[in-house]
Amino acid sequence: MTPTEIKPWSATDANDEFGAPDFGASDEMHSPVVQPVAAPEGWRAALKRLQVGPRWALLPLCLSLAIEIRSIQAPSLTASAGWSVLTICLQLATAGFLAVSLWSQRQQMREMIINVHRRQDRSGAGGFPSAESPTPAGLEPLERELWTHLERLDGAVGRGRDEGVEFGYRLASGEAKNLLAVLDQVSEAVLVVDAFERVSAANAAASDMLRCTPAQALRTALPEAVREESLAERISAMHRQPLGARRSLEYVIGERTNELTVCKIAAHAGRTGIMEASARDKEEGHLLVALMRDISREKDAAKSAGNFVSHVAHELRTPLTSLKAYVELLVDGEAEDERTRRQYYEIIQSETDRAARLIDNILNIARIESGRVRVSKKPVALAEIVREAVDVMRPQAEAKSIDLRHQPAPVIHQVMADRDMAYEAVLNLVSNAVKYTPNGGRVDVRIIVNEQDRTITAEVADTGVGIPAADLPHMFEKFFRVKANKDVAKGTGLGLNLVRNIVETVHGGRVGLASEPGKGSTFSITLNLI
Amino acid sequence: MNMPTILVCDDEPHILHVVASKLRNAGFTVVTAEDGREGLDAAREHRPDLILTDYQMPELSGLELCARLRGDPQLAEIPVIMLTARGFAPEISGADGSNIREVLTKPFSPREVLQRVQATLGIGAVPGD
Repeated sequence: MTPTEIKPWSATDANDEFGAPDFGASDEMHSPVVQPVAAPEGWRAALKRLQVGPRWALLPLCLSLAIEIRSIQAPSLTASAGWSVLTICLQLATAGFLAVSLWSQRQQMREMIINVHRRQDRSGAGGFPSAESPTPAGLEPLERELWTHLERLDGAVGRGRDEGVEFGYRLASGEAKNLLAVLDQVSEAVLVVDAFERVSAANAAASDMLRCTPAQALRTALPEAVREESLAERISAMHRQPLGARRSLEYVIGERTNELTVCKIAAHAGRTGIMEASARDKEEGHLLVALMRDISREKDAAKSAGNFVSHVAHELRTPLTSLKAYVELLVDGEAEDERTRRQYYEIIQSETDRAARLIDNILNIARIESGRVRVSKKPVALAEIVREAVDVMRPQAEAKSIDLRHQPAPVIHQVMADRDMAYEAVLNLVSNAVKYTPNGGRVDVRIIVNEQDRTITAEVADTGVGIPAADLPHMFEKFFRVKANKDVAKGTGLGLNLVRNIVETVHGGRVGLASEPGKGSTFSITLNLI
Repeated sequence: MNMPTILVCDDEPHILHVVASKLRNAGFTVVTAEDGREGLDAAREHRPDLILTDYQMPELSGLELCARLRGDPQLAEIPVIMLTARGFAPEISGADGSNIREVLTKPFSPREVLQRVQATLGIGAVPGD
């Protein structure tokens, strides 16, 4: 709030009667009592000099009164017309003198007021005409009164103004405090530095960047406030940039990677500016705003996404290598006999399938994780799905002389599920069981219903190689393969991850695992009954 | 004739088989290993003239295998050709990989493998090919 110059009279310069160079003309606007006869300039000045006062009117008045009294006492003496004319003239003169004296008084008042005004107006607006004469002695007390009053008024106005400013300041600084409180809630670190390298503002999150508390950092020089010299340097480098410039870079503090953004903005000059420091620098009107955001998680996520991609690529190269190699052998005629050739063809086929499965698994997992998978859930009997999966795996189990047992369950128990996905999950478990069970082993597939919890569990127990305890927590992770069992069977390392995604992410169920190395494993899927 | 012995290490049976096959057909004596540790043992036992190893293997990775080889004065001079599925392998360079002569990225062709083996050993086609 900029204080405005308050004039004692509320008229503006343009319409102010004191601005009018011609006294006579404005008289007519402001004197309701008497309308003096407009006299030419010279006459007015002469009249003023004469100091025509009310006293002047007394003489002709007395004279005419005397004539009137005389005519009452001796009517014959004043009977002639001459005496009447004289009387009239005398009365006219009385009126005239009265009028002039009134006018004159008014002029004097105006002169006095101009004087007062000129005294009051130190800055001396050029428009004020100079008083043509000093204040008449009779008006001096009035002038003094007026002047005192004006000074008091001025004082009051000044105080009012100051209070207004202070109020405005408190209001603004209240606002400033509010804003800072808001900034304290921002999780990004905010550090403001003025053109003189002093910390202008720092929010709570900025304590990561500082050596001291944000409150202590205020008005401290940047290099002293900030934790690391390199940080101070990077921020200071922005001083030389043009207004509006903004730079971002990665800045590591300890184990956390941060994104440091520094911008140069124009500062708001003004006494009631929020940043006290900046209010004083009117010459260098800029502020540096340093923001710091922890991007460790983003980087980790990006890294793990990058890892996933490179892992996938890596996994795909393996079947491709086999394919390329065996095809080349065949093309070069290096398969000596039909049996070898048949063997090579089969390898090519299985590796192709492996690559295709890998791609399918990856896509499915990626779709589920990104929520882009099309799920169509319907009431489905889990028992049916299990039966199907067992039927499909039966030939492979028989080829390994594995006893694949399946306990049929009533189809009455249903779950709300996407049929294909549920099938995929169950098939994965049964297939793993068969894969990782040596010849002559056993795989039991059961369905367990829990009426109390309203859940249904499909359990696949094998007498296979089992899983070491240390590996159990990682079994459902992407690409995880148990080292100890890598010779037992080929795997993409994604099957169980897909199962978990299907069961837990898509259907809100649970996967379970128990295992003992050398004895076997039991995997389970639990879903909610409808 | 003195047929060079080549040790091939890879945890992928198919790849192991195809590389071994190609080299045997070219007249080399081939010893195979399915992980890094087996590879190290086989190297000590057979003292091959060249080692072909995969990068990612259980027990001992290809890189670690090379380090162990360098640590053994009798094995340090054996040239190694690294097979890797990675697009590039920046770690395989400089002093750390001084015994690694070549890096082949998967998928590679067996023909290429043979050529590199021959080039590294400084021989043309082995008689009997």
